[in-house]
Amino acid sequence: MSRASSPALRTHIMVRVGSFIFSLFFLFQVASAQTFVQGKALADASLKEKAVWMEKLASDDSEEATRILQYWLDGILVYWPQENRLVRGIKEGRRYQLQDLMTEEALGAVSSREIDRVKTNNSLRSALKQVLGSRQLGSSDRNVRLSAIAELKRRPDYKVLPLLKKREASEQDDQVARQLSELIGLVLLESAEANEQMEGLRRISGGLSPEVKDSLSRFLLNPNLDPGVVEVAQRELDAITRSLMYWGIGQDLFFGLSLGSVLLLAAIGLAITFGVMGVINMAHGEFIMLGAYTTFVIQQWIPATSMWSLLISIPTAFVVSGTAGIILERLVIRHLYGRPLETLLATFGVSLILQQLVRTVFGPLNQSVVTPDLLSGALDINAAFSVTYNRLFVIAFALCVLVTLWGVMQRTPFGVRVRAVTMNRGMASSMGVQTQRVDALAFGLGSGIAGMGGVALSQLTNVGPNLGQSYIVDSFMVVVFGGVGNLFGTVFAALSLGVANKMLEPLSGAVLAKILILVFIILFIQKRPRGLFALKGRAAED
Amino acid sequence: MIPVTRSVLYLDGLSVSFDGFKALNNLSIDLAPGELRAVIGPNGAGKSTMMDVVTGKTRPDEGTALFLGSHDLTVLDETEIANLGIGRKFQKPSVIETLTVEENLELALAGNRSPWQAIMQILRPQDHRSMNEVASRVGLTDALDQLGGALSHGQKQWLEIGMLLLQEPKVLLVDEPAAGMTDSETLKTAELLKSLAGEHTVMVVEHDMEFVEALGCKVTVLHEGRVLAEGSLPHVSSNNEVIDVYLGR
Amino acid sequence: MIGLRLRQLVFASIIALIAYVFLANVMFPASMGVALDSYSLTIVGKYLCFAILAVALDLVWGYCGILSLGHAAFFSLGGYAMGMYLMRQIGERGTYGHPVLPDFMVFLNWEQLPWFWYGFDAFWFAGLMIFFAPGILAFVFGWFAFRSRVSGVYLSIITQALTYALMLAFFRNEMGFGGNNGLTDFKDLLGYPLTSDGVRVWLMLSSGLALLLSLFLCQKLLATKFGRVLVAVRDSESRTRFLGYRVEHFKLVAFVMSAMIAGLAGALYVPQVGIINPGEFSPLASIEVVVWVALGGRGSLYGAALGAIVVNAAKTFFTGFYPEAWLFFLGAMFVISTLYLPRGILGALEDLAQQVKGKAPKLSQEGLS
Repeated sequence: MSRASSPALRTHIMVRVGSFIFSLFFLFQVASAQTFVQGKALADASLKEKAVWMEKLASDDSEEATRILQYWLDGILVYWPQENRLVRGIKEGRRYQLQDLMTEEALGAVSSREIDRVKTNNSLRSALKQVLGSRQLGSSDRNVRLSAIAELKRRPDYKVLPLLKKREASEQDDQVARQLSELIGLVLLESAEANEQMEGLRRISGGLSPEVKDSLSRFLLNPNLDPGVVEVAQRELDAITRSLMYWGIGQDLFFGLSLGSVLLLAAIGLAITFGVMGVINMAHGEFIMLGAYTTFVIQQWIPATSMWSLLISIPTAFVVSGTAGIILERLVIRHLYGRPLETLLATFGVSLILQQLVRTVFGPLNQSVVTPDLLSGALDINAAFSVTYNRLFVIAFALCVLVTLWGVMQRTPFGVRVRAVTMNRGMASSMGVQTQRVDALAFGLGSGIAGMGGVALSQLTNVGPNLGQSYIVDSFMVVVFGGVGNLFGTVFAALSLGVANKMLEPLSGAVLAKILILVFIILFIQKRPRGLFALKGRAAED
Repeated sequence: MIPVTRSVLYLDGLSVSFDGFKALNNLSIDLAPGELRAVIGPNGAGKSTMMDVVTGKTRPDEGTALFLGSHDLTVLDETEIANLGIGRKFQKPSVIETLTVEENLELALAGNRSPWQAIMQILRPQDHRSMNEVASRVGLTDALDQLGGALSHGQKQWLEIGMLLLQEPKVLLVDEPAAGMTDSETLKTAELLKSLAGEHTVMVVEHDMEFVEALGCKVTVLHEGRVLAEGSLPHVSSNNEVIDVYLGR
Repeated sequence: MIGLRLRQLVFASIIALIAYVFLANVMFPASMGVALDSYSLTIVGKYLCFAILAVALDLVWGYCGILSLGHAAFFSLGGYAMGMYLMRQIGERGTYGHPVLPDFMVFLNWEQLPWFWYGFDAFWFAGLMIFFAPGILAFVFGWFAFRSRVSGVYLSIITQALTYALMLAFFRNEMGFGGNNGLTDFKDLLGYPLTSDGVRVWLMLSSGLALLLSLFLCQKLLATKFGRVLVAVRDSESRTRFLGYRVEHFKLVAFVMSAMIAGLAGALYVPQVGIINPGEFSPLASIEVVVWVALGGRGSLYGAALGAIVVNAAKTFFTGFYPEAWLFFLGAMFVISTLYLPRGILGALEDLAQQVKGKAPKLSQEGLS
């Protein structure tokens, strides 16, 4: 047979329509026998003709039509001239394994020359997805229904309206019903009738998904709209844009707070050691890394998906990093007292050693730390705002650490001593405070908190030997910004830098946001060389 | 509004507080040209803070500090004040320890202080003369090649006084010059300071009563950041409040 | 004095090295077999550039107490200025054969040369920018920082932030400096092909001469009253202010000079290694310079130069034979040099010599920081 020409196609369509009516008679017949007999025509059709074929198949409710469409989309629908029918053809090596469309009974393997694959292109593929989507609306699995709705929302098609309305009437699940109503709203916008358009607008009112916004914007481009409808639509669009903006800011704020919490956990220990001893500990970032690796190691022993593994990691990381901190203080920093720049260099050396140590033991590649089941997933408030549990955990955890630390600093004798040494070392010493002991313990405390920060960080990012390095500069910025010896200053600086970072990101891109923050800090420190909340007085001066 | 005054140094109503602690509390002092003045007071009376305010290290919360009646010391910084002609000797001797005595003196030598001048400067014969003269005046002629850090405490005090002299300031603020000196050195220092008065205006902060007595000048007693009494030494030492503060501790 | 003798020794060794290479590689015929091969030439040339950078850092850290953790930024800016000149020299020989635009710009579909690339086709202009680009950055940064009296660890931290920000910026393609890959595939310098041995010899010789020149100039500068004011600022900043010196101006002059010397080092380095990329801006690069100076002996220009050469020789050795151990070694050097060698190798040798002679050890410089 020659290639299908237009008159031939028309004939086929008529036959097809005939067979469609015919098939209605046998609606309850077990669909094993093949009823679609124009396989050759479909395989030979031009892309334009294929679109028409698809429309026809779309209006066919049968299981067979669904399967044809699905296999077509998947690219495994082939015409088999030998039997003059459509079959499922799965490529295996150079040959195709053929199966019956309906029964999936194996029909043997053939070479590619013996069959004719029904081809698609991108626009056909998306149309196929649409059609299949509307079919899946009837699925008994609500997730399938939800994803079908989401698919249909991308290209609302007025033709599926009756089907949708029918589904809506029978839908039991609230969430699906809401989504379906929004979809119907979108579809109604495609209508030419003003009253249907109004109903559509009513239905999508308050929807925040990008599809709603896009459809509305597109809708307003239509020149033939009723002025009343335009007014409502415009109001709706403005309202959506506005609330999208608010929710977007909320989302950025949430991300910013979680970043700020990480910065806080990283910087708070630094602020303690810097405040108490006036030394910058460049190995601080590596204590964070040690904490993260502790989590990784614990997960090798205790099932990673259990929350216990994480809960055990927290005190373990505190002990591991804290001990490392005390050792560092005893062996190195103590001997460099009063020489802050030398301390900076020596601790930098220690940081290099720790990095290489971890690289030697665990390898240079990133290790992925598993997030416990309890913390994976997110609470989706709406299309524009969702709260991921791991970030929520980090924020809550930082808060706990902060409250505990504040309690320790304010209420325990140790805290009083630490604060005394921070404010006036000489005076504290002459009042009988064992400053050396306070130094070591404060250093251990600060390092231990860094270790716990590492546990939190392992829930957000990969764990690698360079983990500490990437947070150390930011932690310094927090300390420098917030001022030394002031817990509140550190908290304020960490959170505001975290939020500023995330707020700037959508405007300028992540890298530029970071550069802007760094430049801001560099300029800021010119104005307030001792930070935002610096201690005043003679003790703080030299 | 700047009050009209003939004073070289005019401090009026100065207050400074650090986190609630009032280091200076409505302090007023007036120094006439060529005057020698001793300031005494217990620890924490505000003597050093007063000097900090005068030299621009600390900014007062309120009050007036005028130099020669027209320069507002509360807005100028340390360098500007030093170049106006107010020199300071610190309580803790602070010579440059890694430079020799001669180099320390050279740094203090009056003249243009710009970096360019510092690069191009070659010492003239009269510079050497004045440095040698000051060195002999403070008894450091033999120590010119020694490092500042190798000097004894008393020698450091002398070196600092010598540096102060080479700066040729109009006002000298001298903080505890006699600390760490032997009795004869103390007397010598007092003589030196007395000889400077007239040409310069000198304010001396000191604990040592013998030294203050040797100065034989007007005395200001500070307590809790304000002036408690002012007058000759016999006059203030008969003041009941002063006796309470000094003896009633 | 033994210290003086060591200094002369370092100075003499550099002169001897230059003289040897000049004679062996330029004057004598190749058949004599005494010439350095091109690999060694490049290595030695690199070390010499690092030594210049160390001298630059020592000028501000050793003598003025400014611990800059961002000197690699000035080095890299000088390097980029030279790299831009070398890029413009490629001309039509690039992969895309564009007469003006460097390859990476063609690749990014840029239509025309960004304004800041103008002039770099002329060597004299690039030569000026080698000094001006780092100099202006140092001036602006220093003017703000020193005026507000940011000092000590705060200053160190923000210099680190400076180089970190620059690194992030240079990684961006939009900056117009070749992004991640930086500038490379250079062809020739002043019309001579970079790959030829002759050019390598001259580059190495220029590096040696530049090192001698920077040592000489810095030494002369420090011998003036300016040098003594710098030391005064290092040891007692507030005292210097009360003496009437405008400390921030002195710091600024020293900082800008140091940045310019670092830029020169970078400019000599780039044609020898054939590439400059944003990695050179990394904070680690800057802090490695600090360990050269610390180990060599801060406050001694010759010690700094010596430290740069010793540490880099060690680096070449370790990364070649025990790459795992290099960071252990580098880290240990940081700790050891700060704990046990506060005045570096040169200082330790001096102290040793003093003790052998039975003299009291010279005043320790522990107090300075």
